[in-house]
Order: sequence, then structure tokens, then C-alpha cells
Amino acid sequence: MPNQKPVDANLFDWPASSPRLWGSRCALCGNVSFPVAQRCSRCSHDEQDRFHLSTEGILWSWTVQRFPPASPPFPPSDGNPFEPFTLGYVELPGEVRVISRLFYNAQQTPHIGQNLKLAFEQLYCDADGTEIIGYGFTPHGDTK
Amino acid sequence: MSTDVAIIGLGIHPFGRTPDKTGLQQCAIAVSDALKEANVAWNDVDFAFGGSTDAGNADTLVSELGLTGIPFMNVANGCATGGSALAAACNTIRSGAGKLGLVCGFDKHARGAFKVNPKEWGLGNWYGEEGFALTTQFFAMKIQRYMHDYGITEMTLARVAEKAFRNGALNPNAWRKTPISIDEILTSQMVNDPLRKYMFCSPSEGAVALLVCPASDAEKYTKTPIFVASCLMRTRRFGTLEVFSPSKAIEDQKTVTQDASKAAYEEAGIGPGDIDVAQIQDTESGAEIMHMAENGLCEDGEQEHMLAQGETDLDGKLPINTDGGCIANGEPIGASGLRQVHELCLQLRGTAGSRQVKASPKTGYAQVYGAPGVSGVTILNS
Ligand SMILES: [Zn+2]
Repeated sequence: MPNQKPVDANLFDWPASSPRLWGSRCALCGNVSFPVAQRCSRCSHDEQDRFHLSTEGILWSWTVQRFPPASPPFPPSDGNPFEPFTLGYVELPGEVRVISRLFYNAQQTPHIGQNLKLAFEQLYCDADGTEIIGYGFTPHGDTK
Repeated sequence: MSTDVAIIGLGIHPFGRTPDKTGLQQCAIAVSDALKEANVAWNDVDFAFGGSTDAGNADTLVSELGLTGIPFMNVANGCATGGSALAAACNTIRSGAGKLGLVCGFDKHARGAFKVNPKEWGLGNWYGEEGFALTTQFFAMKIQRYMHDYGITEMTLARVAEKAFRNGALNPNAWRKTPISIDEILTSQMVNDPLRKYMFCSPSEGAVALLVCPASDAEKYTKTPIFVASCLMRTRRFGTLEVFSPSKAIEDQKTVTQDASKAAYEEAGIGPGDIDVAQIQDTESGAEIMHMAENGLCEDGEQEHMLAQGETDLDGKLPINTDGGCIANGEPIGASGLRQVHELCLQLRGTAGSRQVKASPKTGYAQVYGAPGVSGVTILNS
């Protein structure tokens, strides 16, 4: 199996048996931050407790990126045609809304209120062949 | 407010693409025009504030205009650069530290979407590698949610763009001067759902210059001074959705534009009902729709029928983005906010030519918004 690593080791552990996003909770006011914060953006308190965010959420808003983002910071195309991708803000109930890739198969389409669960996909391969893994969410269960 | 401030000279270099001139040269032309209008020499100006994002240091203009030794402060506040420069100049006049000030903004951007370095915005590189470092996505996701919450349709997005190009066609300084039909807009390429190609503004070039002085001196320079009722900017508070946000609190708070708007109305001592003409940030169609409500110019959801009935057209109840806005002028970041102020001054003077709004307007409102969640509001009186 090729080497793999997370797009940022502070976002989630990889490889891991059940990888989850890291967030932090303010020790003073309880505000939840993603990614992990040093200081609370609500009350400025600097004691933040790291914890695993929920793996299930609800789609709050979305769009499709239909043109290739500038590279860098977007990974270089390496000659492959650009594939549009879907992204959105996912509400993790009682925690926070996080920006995220959205992974759909050909039968699925995004809609606000949809139930989602955490998923991971390869974003690109770096120069020495290491697979860079990114996070996202994918539909699950009753999506009414 | 201790001293009222007057705008007594205006200059603009046409927006769009000017391959044979640098941004600084475009700005020097705008400054010359403003000086001529007020019938003053560069030697008479005793302080200046200006800025650009991609076209060099504003204070370098002294080598084009003359080395007179005045304090010239560079302002770098993204889309709020022009508004921040004007606010600083107003404070200089009010404090008594200056008597005749130049305020200028200019820019010259490369073609295509703005290139973003996540680190400059306090974000890890992962944000760009996941594909999130694009301002266009933010506007798309914000209007997507707004349409869901308030029943705004795609047709209304198209109507905003159609109006922008229609107004741009009447503006000799605009970049896009060709009207585009609703059909063409609605069938143009999807860029970031629900926003299509003709609903977006593009980075462009241009420059604007204003001269300001104490209101008591205004008649020395012009018969048509325009008075600054308020001019301020705000940064975002906790809980709002802004450009380049990896996350957003679940609790919703007033947006930075709502904050800046409320403060500006208070400073001016008026309310939204007193506004006769407005220029508001229309990075794309959705932004104009949402900013209408955030600036108090309507309730959430009212935009649907207001646009359908032409209420924001030049001959409507509340004309908005009368010069074509960002959609028809493009967005040279440093110049964009002052373009709005320039257009308001023309409308309030009654010299906006074929795009002059009908009832002689007394009060105008301008608002800019930009990354990473800043908003600037200027209210002007004739
Ligand atoms: Zn806190």
C-alpha cells in the first residue's frame, strides 16, 4: 500500500482505525472551534480543550467548484483534466458548522438539510508518490 | 461631529483594461482631474491617503505629481481600502490636522480569479489544497442558503446582473458597456452554483481620486460640494459567515455589514428610509441582493418583488448601483469603494448624465465588503 498522510496533521489523524476531525472547545464559554484554536473567537479565552468532532452532520449550504482553482495553493493538475467538486458547510449539531468537501455518487445531489457523515478521500499524490488524504462528508441514511 | 467634511473635487480613470498604463499612472490621471475640477494645484494639497492591493504604493504618486513633502499615508484594507482612506481623511480634517486632502485608490489585477495565499489570511495551506481558497465559493454558499431561507429565485439573480449591464451601458467609465439579456445571463456558464458567469464581477483596473476639505471652506473650491454625513468601516464579529471561514458558529449574529450600516446611520442621524440612491457591494448578483437587506434598504425576501418591479432601476423608488456596480466595472480592489463614492457625488450633484436618477436625490449611501470580513459604509448629503 502506498504511503498516505493527512492534508494537515492538525485536522485529523491518518492513518487511524476510525479517523475523526479535531476541534476544540473553549474551557470558559464552551464555544467550539474548527480547526483547533489557541484562543476562543467568541470570548478570547486562551484555554481550549481539543476533542473529536461529531462524524455526522446536516448540510447547511453548498456549491460546486466548476473552474480549476489557482495552483498553488490548489494541487497541480499533473496534466489531468480538472474535475469539478462539491463543497459546503456541514452543521455538526451542538458543535459548529465546518467547511467541507462533499462526496456524491452519480445518483446523489446536494440539498440543504441532507444528512451527512464524515468521509475521507485522496486529494492528490505528492512528488514522491505519497497520497495526500483530505476530509469530506457524504450522504447517509434518510436524506428527506 | 466637530467639523463637517466636504468632497470638492472628483477624478476617475475609466475602469476595465488599460494595458499601456500602470495603476499608478491611472491614479495620477484621476488626481489631475480632481485637482482641475476643484481649481487647485497639487501644491495646495496638504495631506493624502491612498492605496492599492496589486499596483504599488500610493505614496509613490508624489514622484508623478510633485515632491511637495506632504504626509501621504498608504492604506491597505482590501476591498475597504478606499473607504478606510476616506474615513482617515475625514478624521484628519475633523482634528484640524489638514485643510485640503487627497483620497485616492487604484488597482491593476491580472486576469482571472484572485490568487489567494492561505497563509496571508491566517489559514493553513490545507485550506487551499482542499480547494477552499476562493472568494467566489463563499458568495455562492452564502446566497445558496439565503435563497433557501427567503425564497429568492435564480431569476432575481439574473435581474440584478441585467440591471448592472444596462446601467454600465450608460456609463462612459464602465468596463462592460453592452447590455446582456436575462436569457443570456441564465444560460451562461455555471461558475459556482447557483452563480453563473455573467452574475460575477471580475478583477479589473481603474483609479479614483477625491479632494476633501472642511465644509466651511467648500465654497472656495466648488458650487456643488457634497458633504460626508458618515464614513466608517467595521471588522467581523463572532458568529457571522465571512470569506475564508473554515467554520462558522451555529448561532447566527449580525453580519459585519449590518454592524457598519447601523453605526453609519447613527453617525449620520438618519435611517434607511432617508436614502435616495445607493451603491452597494455587488461582487456578484447574490451579494447585491443580500446587502440590500443587510444595509437596511429592505427586509429579507423583499428583493424578489423589488427587482421584478424595477424598484432598484434608475427610475425606480430606490436606484441601486447606478453606474453598473462591480458587475459592469469590474473590481480593482483599491479603487472600488471610491468608485461608489464618485458615482454618489455625481448623482447628488445631478450631473450623472443619461444615468441620472429622476427625483433630485439628497442623500446617498455606499457600502463595500471584502475579505476577511470587512465592511465600509459612507453616507453623503448634497
Ligand atoms: Zn470562549
